[in-house]
Amino acid sequence: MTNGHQHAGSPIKITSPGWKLSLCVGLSIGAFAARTPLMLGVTMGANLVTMIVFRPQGALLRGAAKVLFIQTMMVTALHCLRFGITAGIRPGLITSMQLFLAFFPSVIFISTTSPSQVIGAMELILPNRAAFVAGTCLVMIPMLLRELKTIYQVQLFRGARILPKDLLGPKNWPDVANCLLVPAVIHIMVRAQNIAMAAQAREYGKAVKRTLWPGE
Amino acid sequence: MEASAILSIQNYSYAYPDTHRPVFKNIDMTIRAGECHCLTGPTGAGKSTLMMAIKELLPPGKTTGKISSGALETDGFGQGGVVLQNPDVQLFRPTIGNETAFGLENIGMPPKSMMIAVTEALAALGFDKPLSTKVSTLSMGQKYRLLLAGMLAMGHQLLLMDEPGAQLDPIGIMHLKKWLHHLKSQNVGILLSEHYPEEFKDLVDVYWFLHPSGSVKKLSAMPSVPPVCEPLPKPPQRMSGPVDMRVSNLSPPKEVTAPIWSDLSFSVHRGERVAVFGGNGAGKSTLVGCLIGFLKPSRGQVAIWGQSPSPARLRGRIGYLSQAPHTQLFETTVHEELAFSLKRFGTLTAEIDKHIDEILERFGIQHLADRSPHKLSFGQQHIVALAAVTVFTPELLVLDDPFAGLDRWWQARISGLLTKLNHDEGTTILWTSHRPREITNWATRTLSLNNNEINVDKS
Amino acid sequence: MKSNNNWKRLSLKESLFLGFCAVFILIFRASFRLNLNIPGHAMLFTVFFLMLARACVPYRLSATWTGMIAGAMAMVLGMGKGGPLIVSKFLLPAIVIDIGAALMPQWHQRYLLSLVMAACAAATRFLSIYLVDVLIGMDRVVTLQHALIKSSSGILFGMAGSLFIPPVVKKLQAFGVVERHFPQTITETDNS
Repeated sequence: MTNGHQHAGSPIKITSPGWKLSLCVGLSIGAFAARTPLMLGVTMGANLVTMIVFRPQGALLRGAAKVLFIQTMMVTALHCLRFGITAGIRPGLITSMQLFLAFFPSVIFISTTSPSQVIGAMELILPNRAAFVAGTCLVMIPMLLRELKTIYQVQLFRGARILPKDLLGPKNWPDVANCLLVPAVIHIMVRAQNIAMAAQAREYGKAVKRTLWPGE
Repeated sequence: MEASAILSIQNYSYAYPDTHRPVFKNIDMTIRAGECHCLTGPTGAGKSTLMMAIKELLPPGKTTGKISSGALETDGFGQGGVVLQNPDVQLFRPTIGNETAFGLENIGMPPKSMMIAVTEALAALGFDKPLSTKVSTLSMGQKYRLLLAGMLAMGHQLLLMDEPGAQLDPIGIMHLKKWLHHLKSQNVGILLSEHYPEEFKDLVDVYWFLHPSGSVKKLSAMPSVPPVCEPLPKPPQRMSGPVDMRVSNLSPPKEVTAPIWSDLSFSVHRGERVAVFGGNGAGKSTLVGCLIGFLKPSRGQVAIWGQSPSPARLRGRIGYLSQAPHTQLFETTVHEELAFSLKRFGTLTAEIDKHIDEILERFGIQHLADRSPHKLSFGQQHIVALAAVTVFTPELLVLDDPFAGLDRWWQARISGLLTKLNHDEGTTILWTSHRPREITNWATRTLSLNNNEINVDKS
Repeated sequence: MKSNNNWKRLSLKESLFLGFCAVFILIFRASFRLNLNIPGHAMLFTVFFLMLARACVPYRLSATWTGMIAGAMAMVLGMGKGGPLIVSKFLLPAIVIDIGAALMPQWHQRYLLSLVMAACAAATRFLSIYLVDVLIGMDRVVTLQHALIKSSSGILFGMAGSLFIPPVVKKLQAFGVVERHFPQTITETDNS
């Protein structure tokens, strides 16, 4: 079996999603306590080691860099306004780095964990039913989005004023509610019913405690 | 020696709670190991509901008689495994290994035992892909096979399959039948419900007819099925009227990574009835998206009435009916549903009622005018949705597989209405389908999306 | 969706409906963040879907349940700043909506009540931002400024989201999909 989510060169081949999630949440919480440059340095080091071990890749890292930039600009600016440029820069940078480090471990987690393992992780942090629902909805959402997009297209050609430029005028908002949201909500309800039926047809709810697939 | 019964339905009747009208009346049916039975009947007769009853998934209602299984009675998981109509609502997990194990997770099988059961089940159905293969990359036929693997992993000896022919293209059906033959030979019993029994005739041993009244009759042979569309006189020569749509060297959007059609060129003339055929995953919806301006092709051009398509510009000139027409209904009465487009496209208030009356009469739904569209039957909703997209007399009507889930009677009715619309109003119609047989007779021209190219029938 | 007991256990189909509401909150947040970058705009979707969840499923903690799932998914999927505290971004407005619904049973039929409820729910954004900043150890005044900047526009967007609730719920009630007081089982079309 191959794991498309864990880099081929990663020294850690098998890590339970629960273990990895705990590590990332721990790192995230650690960022809140890192209020001195020393502690911040330790937390950054821990994040760096985690990155080397799990080797996250892809667009998520670029997104994280963007968050770091915007966050730093805003928080540092506020600190400079409050304390003056000289006194404000240092606490501003420390705080923005703390905020970033509170967020970054989850980027490491999601970019190095397969979809099945993400669902497995949900099972660990949510009650049984909620975890199943969260995992199922994540898997089913592309299908639902396709179907809702079709509803949008059909209604548009029927004359509904729901093009982005139509929405600039509040007089067209009722069309969004009537022509788009109402059929969309009904469709989501019908799909929820279909999926619930399909799950029960595959014995969902039969065992007191569901077990989890050990693979990917 | 006769094989043992794996499903026995004896004098079974059922009515939903709070209703008196029985859904099923005195049904008797026996399925033996290695047999394939086919349940036929019109849309809304209750074929899917009978499968749910066998699986013990109906709410407790007024029940008499019993449904019992033979070898399976001890498994405690209802009678056999069900594959419902739409695979996409039944695939719960992202990878094929995890998906096959879904039922096993639900019964609490220890994880260590799962791997063996899953690997064996997938191997038995010819899957040679890694267990981490994403389900989303599978074709429709492979998704069906994956669902069957999930049933096998559970050890089910009876398969209940709800209209597999509705979603699959001919090649998908051919492959599915191969695996169902294989399972039959392994003494698995199969109950199919099907609007297209002739496509499974080499597999089926016994046919049943479920009447809308709730009774079931055993048939001595496959029921004869009338064609959906009577052959229509085709234009004596190739259409030469004004061009409504011109497609030149069209390639799919960059985001579409699956290998589908490319470099398409064709024209659609005023008043044509064009059928676009393509198997599951051939890119029919992508093509429609490009034609009506919702998707941007990576290369090539589409011109509708001489201009590049844009939804804003085409509003009021194109009617579009999706695969699930009932999902577009949102008004409180059928009359209001039809009035919506007329109001939006500026029809005078005084003329709206008169025009709607004409449409209601043309579609034969005058009696439904004051009914809520959401309280109608599935077939009636299709007709109302079709009326709603044609009420403003579009010049071009685009239909994306509008027969999904309909029986032959409703299909014939809809194709008849479309023919009349085409004949009376000169509406150009472009119709996509994954089932060539559905509308071959109906179309004046067919375009076939296969092997990454388009074949234009010059007839 | 059927119920005659607001404390009953959620059925699977109701749970899935709420789950989809939660996923939509995240999807709209993510997709509009890329295009708009206006502070607080995500509150429009968060408030709308949380209110929709409460209006359509007759369970006293429908919104909270939805908020909990959205928060957990956001945490696992790395969708927001604040690490595990991101859960509060969804949970706090959801709790306000559930409390509001208990206090104002007619809330989804009147624009004014919906607006009040949405404003209160969206105002919790101030709390969740303040909480994160305080835990980080940020200066109190900066924390206040930061939270105010980010939450004030959120209140307006949240109120805008709530404007869609009364007309949508009214239509759903007219179809019998959601009953005036106790939502009913949806009548799925049997197309067999």
